[in-house]
Amino acid sequence: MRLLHFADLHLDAPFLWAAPATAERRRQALRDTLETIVELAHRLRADALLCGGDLYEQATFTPDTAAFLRRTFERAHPLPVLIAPGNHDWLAPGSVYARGPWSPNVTIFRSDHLEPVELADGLTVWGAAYVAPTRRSGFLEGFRTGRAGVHLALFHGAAQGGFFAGLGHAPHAPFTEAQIRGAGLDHALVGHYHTASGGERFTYPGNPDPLSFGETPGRDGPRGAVLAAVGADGTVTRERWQVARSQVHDVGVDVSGCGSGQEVRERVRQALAGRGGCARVTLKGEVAHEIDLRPELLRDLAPELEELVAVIGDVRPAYDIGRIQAERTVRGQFVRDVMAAPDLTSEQRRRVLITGLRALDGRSDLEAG
Amino acid sequence: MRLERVLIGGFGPFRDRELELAPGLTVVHGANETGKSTWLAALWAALCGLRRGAGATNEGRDFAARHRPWAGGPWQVSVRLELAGGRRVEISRDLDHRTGSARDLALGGEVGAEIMNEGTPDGSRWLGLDRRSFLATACVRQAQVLEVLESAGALQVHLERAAASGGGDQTAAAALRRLEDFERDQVGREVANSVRPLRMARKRVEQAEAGLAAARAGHDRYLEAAERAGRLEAEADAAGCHRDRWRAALLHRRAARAGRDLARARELAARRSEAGSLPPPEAEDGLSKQVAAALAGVHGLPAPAPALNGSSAADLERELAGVPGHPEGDCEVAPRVAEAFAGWRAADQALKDHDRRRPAPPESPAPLPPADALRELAGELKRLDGAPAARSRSGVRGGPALAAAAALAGVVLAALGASARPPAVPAAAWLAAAAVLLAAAAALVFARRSPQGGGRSAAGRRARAQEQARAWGLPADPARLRELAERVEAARWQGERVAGWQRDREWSARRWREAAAALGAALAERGATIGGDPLHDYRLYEAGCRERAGQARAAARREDLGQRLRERRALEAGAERDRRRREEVGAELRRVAERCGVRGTDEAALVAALRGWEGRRDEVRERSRRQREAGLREGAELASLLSEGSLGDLESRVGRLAAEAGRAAGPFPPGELAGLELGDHPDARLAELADAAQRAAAQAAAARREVDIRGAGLAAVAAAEEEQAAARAELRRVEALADTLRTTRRFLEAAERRAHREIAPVLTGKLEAWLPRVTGRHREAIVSPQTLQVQLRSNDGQWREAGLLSQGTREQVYLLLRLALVEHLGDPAEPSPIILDDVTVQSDAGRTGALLELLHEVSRERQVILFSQEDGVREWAERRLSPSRDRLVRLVAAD
Repeated sequence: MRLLHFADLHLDAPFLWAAPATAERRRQALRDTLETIVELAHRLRADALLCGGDLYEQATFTPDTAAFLRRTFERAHPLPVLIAPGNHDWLAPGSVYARGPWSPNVTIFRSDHLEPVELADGLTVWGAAYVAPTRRSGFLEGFRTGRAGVHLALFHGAAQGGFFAGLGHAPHAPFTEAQIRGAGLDHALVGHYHTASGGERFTYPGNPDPLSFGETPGRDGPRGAVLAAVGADGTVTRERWQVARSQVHDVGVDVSGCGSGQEVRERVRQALAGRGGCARVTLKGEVAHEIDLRPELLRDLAPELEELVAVIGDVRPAYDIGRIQAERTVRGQFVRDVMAAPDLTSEQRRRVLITGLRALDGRSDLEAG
Repeated sequence: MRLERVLIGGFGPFRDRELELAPGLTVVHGANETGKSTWLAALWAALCGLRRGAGATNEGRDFAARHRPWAGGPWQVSVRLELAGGRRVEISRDLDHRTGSARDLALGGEVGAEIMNEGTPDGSRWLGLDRRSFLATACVRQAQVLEVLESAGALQVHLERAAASGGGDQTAAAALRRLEDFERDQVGREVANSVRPLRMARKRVEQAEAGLAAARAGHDRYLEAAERAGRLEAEADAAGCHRDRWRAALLHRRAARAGRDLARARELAARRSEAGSLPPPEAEDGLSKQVAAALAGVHGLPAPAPALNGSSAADLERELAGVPGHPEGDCEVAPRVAEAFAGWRAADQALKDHDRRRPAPPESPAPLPPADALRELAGELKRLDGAPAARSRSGVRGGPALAAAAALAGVVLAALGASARPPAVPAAAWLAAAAVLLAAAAALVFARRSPQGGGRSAAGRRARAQEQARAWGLPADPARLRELAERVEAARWQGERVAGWQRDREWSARRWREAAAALGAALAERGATIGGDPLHDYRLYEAGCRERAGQARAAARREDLGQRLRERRALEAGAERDRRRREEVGAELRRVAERCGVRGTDEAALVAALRGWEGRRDEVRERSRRQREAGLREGAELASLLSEGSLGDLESRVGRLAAEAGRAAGPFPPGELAGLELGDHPDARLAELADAAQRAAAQAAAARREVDIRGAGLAAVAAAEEEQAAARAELRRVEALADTLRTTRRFLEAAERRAHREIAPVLTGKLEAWLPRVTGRHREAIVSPQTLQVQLRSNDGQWREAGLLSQGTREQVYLLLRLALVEHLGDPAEPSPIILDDVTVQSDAGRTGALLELLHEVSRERQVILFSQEDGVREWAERRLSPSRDRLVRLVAAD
């Protein structure tokens, strides 16, 4: 039995870092990725497609998302599609799931306790839904399959202990690997953590399409979908597939030694060469203090990108602060005072120094990046 | 620091040139185009170098354009210098590559790292300056002097610039204004109508938050509408399912019924086909009518009348002839007569009864005084029996009168008592006798009560009583007297009784007479004969009545006989009619029977035979009727079954209904449909259910339309959240910028105040120390710590602003201030050389001399290098310079 599992697609999620047009493209990219997943299920000849929750955002979904989901899963027919609503797409009365009709191949788990769906002779998938935006108790608490055969679970929950102890997620439907074994389950296909991860008996596929910058591959491989091959004895062999159609890059650029804005731009351009999608560029290093470094001056650097988010990170203008401090001038006094001011944060100190020194230099770019 | 030698490998017009510099004052003299500016630039470039890095500034580009070797070749320059500590260093520059090195001439080591600035060694760093501030602080150019001379405020501005950054172009005040301007443009004030970034950012945040709130509210309403629509759709589905189930059940029933109809139609059609056409209705033939009429005639015959008995009509006619007529007069006692007779009989009886009650006549004793007198006397005698004799002798006065009255009464009573029949004794007579006796008694009583009598003695009274008794002829015995009194009293009562009876009899007799007269009148009225004896007259009338009654009873039979006669005649006539009718009916009956072929011995047999004939005929007709009716019924039933077409059509319809029922059955189990109780009005119920389902569907559709409408107009929450995030980020940026600008201004203002406070006394001290030596007129000076304005006090004691003094004074003050600034801004441990470029060109000979003297004085403390084109300066140098410390370099054009 081959099951393609995914979760945490978060259709209609807001992209707070993106410009409006980019955000819309990102949301479309999420939809494209779902279609990719369905296509992958067909290509891999999966016996069923399973979603471990957070398929969409209940708080922000648009009406056409409901139509899109129905249409997409209907096109997947007769491939069985099993959905276990999570905390972001919880089974609200006015939710996408509440309105039908869904094609007959779609099964949406609607109970807040695990219920069985027999996918094949001897193979049962137990699924459950969030019926509220939060859930403190685990789906596996007090649960036992109580019957023979191979049993899998499909739900949205937070694994506890071990690798997952420090992930900092709110304890949504917590569970442990021991509970999986104790319940008589052979494996749990789950969603919630966006990093591709898992344990011996459970699998997080990770969010299949990037939602923010810095989404690196997980411990167990790329984020995306997981093809779970279920053996007759209940063993599960996992194969992770990257399905995202879009790219989101997080690039750091050291601009140390740059003597001009043009040099900085050139260095950034080189760093972004060959990349597509969206990119966040974080500058760092020491540059000539004459250089006007503002994020908006870098935005046109890579027109081939959907979105370039420039961040002035740890960039230090090459003022010789030590020498200036020694000056018996207003400037020297200013730098001494600022450096000695106890109530300034380092960031404020940096900004005030740059702004003041630029003002004393007669510059017009007084806003420190 | 003292610069010893500047070496040019290639710089502007020069190649491989060298300029030796004195430790004190070096005057480099040359006319125009002799290379003064080139040496000045080369000196600066050799000492400070050019900053490395791409993106050269305009200044750098201009510098390169002016000072690259004109004839090509390497752009190289170097300088040898000695630091205050005695260390001698040579700084070599490859200006083409902007590289350089600083080599300790004694040790041979590279010391460039000590003074590295913007990528290249910068010798001014040993002075506490950099290549920019060295130029601004230690290099005094002709243009700057001219500026001071031409503008009264230039001196102060220059001081401010120097105080701000050691000689840059900007003053702290200008920096503060720039910050203020920048804040005004890039932040702005928080006022309602502002279009500056801060207000706009706040506005954007407000709008974004409002937009987000509206989007979320719209989304919530959309969800609510979706929830409601979902609920209504579920209800509509349930209603539709209910309707469909009902409809399916109804169609199921109709299909079943249509199937049965089809079977029935087939059966009827087959039967009609077998039976052929229906028999025609039996015609009403004439024989049946005749039979019916004949039998009706028999039936209409009256029952055979019994034989007429009794007297015949003739007998009765004869008997009637012998009956008397009705009598004249009363046949019974007339009521009035009877009433009058009863009245008379009662009066007569009353009179007779009264006569039978006639009382006996009263006793007739001798005349006695009245009973009361007797009792009085008896009483008197009785009382006097025990009294003294005198008293008894008193007697009764009036005795003689009393005796006379008593005697008279006795006579009257005796006379009355002699009459035997009361009617013969008038009551008046009895009354007269009684009155006499009463008078006697009264006389007795009067006599006894007379005072003369009473007053007499008992004897007297007794004597008079006894006398009285004797007078009355009575014993003077009280008992006897009382007895006599009783008899007198009884006789009086009986007399009164007789008188009463007599009065009553008179009355009864009058009644008797009146009743007799009434009876006579009544009898006379009835025509009776009146004879005077009421009873006889009545009896006679009564007997006449009885006689007339007997006649009347005989006459009464006459009517009865007449009636009997009429009835008898009618009976006899009816019997005759019946007889003839029976004959006619019998004849018709026999005729009809003959025609019907039935026989009978008599009429009854014929009737029975004809009725049998009718019965058989009716049975045939009934069978025919029933057969026809059944045929008609079945035909009608078949027609009804086939009302919508032929049997084939019905078969098609059944097929359609079955198919329709099958389709309608859909998801419903057949058992569920069959078990559904449809009731008596399933179509009406289906209409209700369909109506309910339609309403529910309409409501659900309306709710879904509302969802669609809300969905179509729904603002994207995600986009609104993004806009809010962007707006907040922009606001944070502007707020951070505002905070940075304000903090910067605060620090800069404070730094300005402090720096000015520090520099002002330094400048003041330097001016006061050197100015008298230069000008000879100003001994006191003051530099404002707030504004760095310079004021000088003349010998006349007046304070004047330096910028308003003479040009020469301004020039001297400026140079002194520059010297003071070099001292103040530079590293005190490493005095900076001062380089001056034609600073006296605008001065007259006197001022030039004074300045030169000043510079010469200054050169004792720090190296002074003066570039000049003036011959006066050269001449002064030739005259005043010390060969051991100073040097005059003459530049010629050929050089």
